[in-house]
Amino acid sequence: MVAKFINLCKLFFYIQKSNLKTAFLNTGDALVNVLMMTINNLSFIFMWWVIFHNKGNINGWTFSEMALLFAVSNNAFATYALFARGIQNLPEYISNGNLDNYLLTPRSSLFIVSTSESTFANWGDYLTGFIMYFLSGYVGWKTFFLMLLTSFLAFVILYSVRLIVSCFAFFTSDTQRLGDNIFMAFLTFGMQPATIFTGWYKILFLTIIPAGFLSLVPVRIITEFEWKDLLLMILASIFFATVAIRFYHWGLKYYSSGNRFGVR
Amino acid sequence: MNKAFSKYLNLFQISFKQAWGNKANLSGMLFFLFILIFIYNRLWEVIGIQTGENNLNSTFIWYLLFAEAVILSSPKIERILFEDIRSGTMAYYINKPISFFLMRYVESLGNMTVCYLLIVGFGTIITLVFTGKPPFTLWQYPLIVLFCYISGTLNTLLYAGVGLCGLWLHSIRTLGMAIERLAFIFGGAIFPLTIYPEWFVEIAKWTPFYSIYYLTIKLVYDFSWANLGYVILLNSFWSLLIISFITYAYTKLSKKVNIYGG
Repeated sequence: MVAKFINLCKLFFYIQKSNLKTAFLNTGDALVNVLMMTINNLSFIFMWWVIFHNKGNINGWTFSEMALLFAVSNNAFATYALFARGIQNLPEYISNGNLDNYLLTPRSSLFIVSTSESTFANWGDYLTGFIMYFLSGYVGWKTFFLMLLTSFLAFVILYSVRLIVSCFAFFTSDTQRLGDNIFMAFLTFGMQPATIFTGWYKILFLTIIPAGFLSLVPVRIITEFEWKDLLLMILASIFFATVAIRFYHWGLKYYSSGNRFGVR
Repeated sequence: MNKAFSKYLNLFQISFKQAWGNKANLSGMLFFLFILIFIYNRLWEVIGIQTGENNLNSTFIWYLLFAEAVILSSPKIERILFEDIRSGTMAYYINKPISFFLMRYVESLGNMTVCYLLIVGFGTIITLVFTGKPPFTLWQYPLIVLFCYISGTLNTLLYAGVGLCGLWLHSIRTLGMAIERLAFIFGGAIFPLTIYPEWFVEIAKWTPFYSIYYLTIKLVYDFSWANLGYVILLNSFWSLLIISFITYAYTKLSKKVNIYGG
């Protein structure tokens, strides 16, 4: 078990090394892409800065809390896009039968599919994440550690949601764009000031669409730390990850190369 | 002239039918639209209550609906053209009795039209449910729909220009994203430019996004014949510039491209 885990880690680092080497074949291009991504993110954040500048606060949230939200969500998305983005291609692999190639490897097929794509430009998201953390005004060793921890847990939830959505392809055809749109909707939910969701909306925000674990809970953990919030986030990430992985393995039972639509 | 026109009309019809047939894609898009309108309606409702501004959500959500109609209906033509250039597909079409660029553009328009009509149709219903009375009159509605559609075709043309940058760039993905984001901000795609500081609006005025997005969509809550005339004038100017760039890039590209890729 331990040896298997160490082997997976070794493979993971080898894949990341290859990704970096590929990206740096054209150093200028790679760095420009990272810079563009950072500018892209910062310009989106600028829109929110203007809103908060005009309105002061939104149900108690100021730009500082919003900056923390951007720090956590950008770090979580960067981790997803750099190390596990392959999962978004799962519907395509299922419909054209390419999943066979991944199932035949001696490693975990989910691991191999997840690491099959990486977008170097998303290092710009990490850059944005850290810039926003330092702009938030909540700077300190404790908050820094909590920001890193919640970013990782938010990544687990983000990845789990994407995996569940991608697995729809096991049961029905043509779900690539549908999955993309549902995932986008989830991210859009997670990038809003969490305090606009109250009452029933808040329950929906933490359960069916768990975007609250991308915004509300991490920001609360960083700003007013309580063990029960951290425990809630850890349990939520374990729960969603377990559901997603089980859903994937359940979907695999319905998969055959015959899922390929069209004529060869 | 008529024959040439009918070729493109047929292409338009084929891509329209293809897009219409892609039900999963369309339902995903409408689901996303619903979520977007729901979230931002909630946001402006909360801000409206907080600042005591009634109907704030109505103005901003109708604005958002037409902004999303222009943006979400855009068919990512830049990626299609870039792939065609990189893979060499373009070279196979270049000696055919049809303009490769117009073919791709008209196909994209067919696709865009389906998405646009669905977004406006479905969006109008849900926005009415969420906000109640719209900020425009009934007779202004078809004009707003028409002019936002024209903006959508211009937006597609702009992204076609981005796709042709594949002639000079190794990858256009990030450039496309950066242009998209600039359009979001300078075009006021989520929030109207009225909320931005004056210095920022002055900069935005020098970009095509100001007229293609903001000025046209602003007709939703600030309709007047003078504004409409200004929209026509500025959009004509920017479309001339975009077409000039596309003609220049496409002429260069046609000479360079081969079946092994551009």
